[in-house]
Amino acid sequence: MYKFLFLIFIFKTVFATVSHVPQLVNKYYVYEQLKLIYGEEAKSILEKNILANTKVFAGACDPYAYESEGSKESGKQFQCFNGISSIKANSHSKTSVIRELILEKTCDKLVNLKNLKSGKFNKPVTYTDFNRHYKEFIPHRDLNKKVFESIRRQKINRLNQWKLFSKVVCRSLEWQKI
Amino acid sequence: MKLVLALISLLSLVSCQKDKINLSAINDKEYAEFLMVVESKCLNCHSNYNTTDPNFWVKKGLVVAGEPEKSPLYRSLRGTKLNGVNNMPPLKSPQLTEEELNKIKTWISKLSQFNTNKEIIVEYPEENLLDEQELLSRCYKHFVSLPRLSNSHIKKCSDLINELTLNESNVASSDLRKSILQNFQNFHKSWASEYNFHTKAESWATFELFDYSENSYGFTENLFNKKSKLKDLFIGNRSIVGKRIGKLKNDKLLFKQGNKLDRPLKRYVWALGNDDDNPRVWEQGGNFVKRGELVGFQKQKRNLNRINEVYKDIHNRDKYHVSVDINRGHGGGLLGNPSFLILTYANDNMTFMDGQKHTMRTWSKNVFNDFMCRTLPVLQLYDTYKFVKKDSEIPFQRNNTCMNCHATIDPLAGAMRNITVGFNNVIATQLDLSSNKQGYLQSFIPIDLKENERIFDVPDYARSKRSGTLRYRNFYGDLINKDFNGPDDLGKIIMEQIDPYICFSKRYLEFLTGVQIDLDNLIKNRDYHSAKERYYYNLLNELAINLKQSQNLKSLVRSIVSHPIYRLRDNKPVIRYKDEK
Repeated sequence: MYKFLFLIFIFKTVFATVSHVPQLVNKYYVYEQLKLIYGEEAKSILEKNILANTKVFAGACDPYAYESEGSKESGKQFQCFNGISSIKANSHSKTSVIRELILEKTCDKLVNLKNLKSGKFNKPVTYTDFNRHYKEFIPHRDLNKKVFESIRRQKINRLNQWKLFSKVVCRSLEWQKI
Repeated sequence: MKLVLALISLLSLVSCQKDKINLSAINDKEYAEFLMVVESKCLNCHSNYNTTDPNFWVKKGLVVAGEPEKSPLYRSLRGTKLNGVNNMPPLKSPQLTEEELNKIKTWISKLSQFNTNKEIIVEYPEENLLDEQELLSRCYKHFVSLPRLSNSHIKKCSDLINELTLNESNVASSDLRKSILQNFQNFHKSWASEYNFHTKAESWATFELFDYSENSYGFTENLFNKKSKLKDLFIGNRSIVGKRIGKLKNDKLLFKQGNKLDRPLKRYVWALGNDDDNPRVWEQGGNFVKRGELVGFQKQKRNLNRINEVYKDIHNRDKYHVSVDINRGHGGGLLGNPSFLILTYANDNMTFMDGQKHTMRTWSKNVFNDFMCRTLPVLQLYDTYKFVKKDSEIPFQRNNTCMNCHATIDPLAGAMRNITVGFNNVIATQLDLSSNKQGYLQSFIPIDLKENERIFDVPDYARSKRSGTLRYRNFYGDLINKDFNGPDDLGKIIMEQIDPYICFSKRYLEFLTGVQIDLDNLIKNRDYHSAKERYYYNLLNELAINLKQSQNLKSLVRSIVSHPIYRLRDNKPVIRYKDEK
């Protein structure tokens, strides 16, 4: 009896007629958002890790929107990096372990970009400054003060506190949810 | 006296002639089987059983829903030996087999599960609603797929809907509009399903001449142009194509596969002269698909590329003389678009359709997949018995399971019976096509056999009128069985149905809320829907009816974005039947 009920449950779950998949932003959004925050220096990291990963981050390429002539390129973000397999990708992405891992790796590289040391991260560790950085990702919300405190209490230097905080926000799902 | 008796017998025989129940109107398999038993074993004498109304049996007290053992009909059929009230059919008449009895029992048992008339309670919990800023953020992500800058003039979702506009030249006039345009174009081009990319056309030069996503521009244009009507996309032979602004010369072909240089994958790179070890110069011929930033739309130009011959294979064998404006459509708007035909042509090159072994079946299948979101079979088994030909020489015509799909796709394929596909080297005319190394610069070209009389030995079927039948069960379970005369007539008939609008609504609902609906199952199980399934069935129906009326995708977007589901943080309303906890 229980086996039967279990089978019905599995059937209903796996072959559901109506299901809901929480949506995450696609590669175009992730690319532009992180480029906006970490600067032009981030471009090559983002192209390699985000734009070229259509299977993971979704967002169909458009081979007619990408142009090239010798070494010159235009519409680079629309390039079909891995051939035509990505011309019919989904519009939005969904959560996956591989997406988390790739984003973590990307964020790790981004927070270590040289220009940040003398620029965005060259500030004291205050709630106001952290909150300003947080709002670059999630404009309509304020940083939780407990998060700020927990980072401030870390026994690491100021630059590393900034890097840690930036990486935490960069890889968080909050700004990626649609 | 004998004469009177004989007359009475004759009269009773005539009056006992079987009536037929019109089973074609039934969309429920178990109920159809129930009625087939009634027809064969009861109708002779119980002529009032000649009904397709399921409520009849309950109203007459013959059936107790969900309880066969309490149903007088079932008890009588089981007979007095098994506690029946009487023996039916009478013992001297042919009796029911065990299988037939089970069919009666199955349907009566199923009746209790009918949920179609139950009231649905839906709640959109307030604590789960997005505030205005969050809502704007969601809209922006859906519409633009880019971060919203702090100085943006977009302050609410309706501002974004207002951006779905083109200027009088059919061009998006701002960077924001171009981004939205490209975003929705990417969405629309994902609608096409089972295409030939990975079998036939991907490695060839075909999509230098034909935009592989040509069918999706019409939908994007419809979204941005309030005067555009969806039904017009399915009529005529001039496609809507993208208007692009290029910045560079583009000295590479589109579809080289990754950076793998092993033959045969390197054939494009090699043929182009990009191979450092073996450069080869060739001069481009023909007009390629324009590249560059997508900014708007235009009608496909006439005679953009004309050809005078096609080949059966890449080595220039079996040459056919033709005269073809290759970018012109073949009627029925999107249905006869050259790009769509190439992508859905699943026969060998220069195969002529004969209406038997060879027809445009994959094309038919994709019409259902792409424009109605349906997968075959779209008929019930009991719909197709009458199409089975036991003495046919073609194996699938002898089998009802096969005919369950063929009864739909074969008559539909009549609309494109005149089409075949051949090779041509229009993009590299000076190359030696008999060379294995250079032949790959050829393109697939659809040919209209009716317009090219110099192609001989064409079966009569391929040259005859492009007629056929649109046959399937629709969203409501009704049998659609309509003859058409030509592709434009087919396009018109398709767009008179609810199903394309259901399909477009389903896709937009998924795009904007993440709700994924298996339409085939939702339709098949509509008598047993859970509350959630019933809710989405009704919602799709409502959206589709409105879309059919407005004929414009912008109104669909507006309907979904203003729906309470869109505002829910997780897009999940609380849904239950009234009598459920």
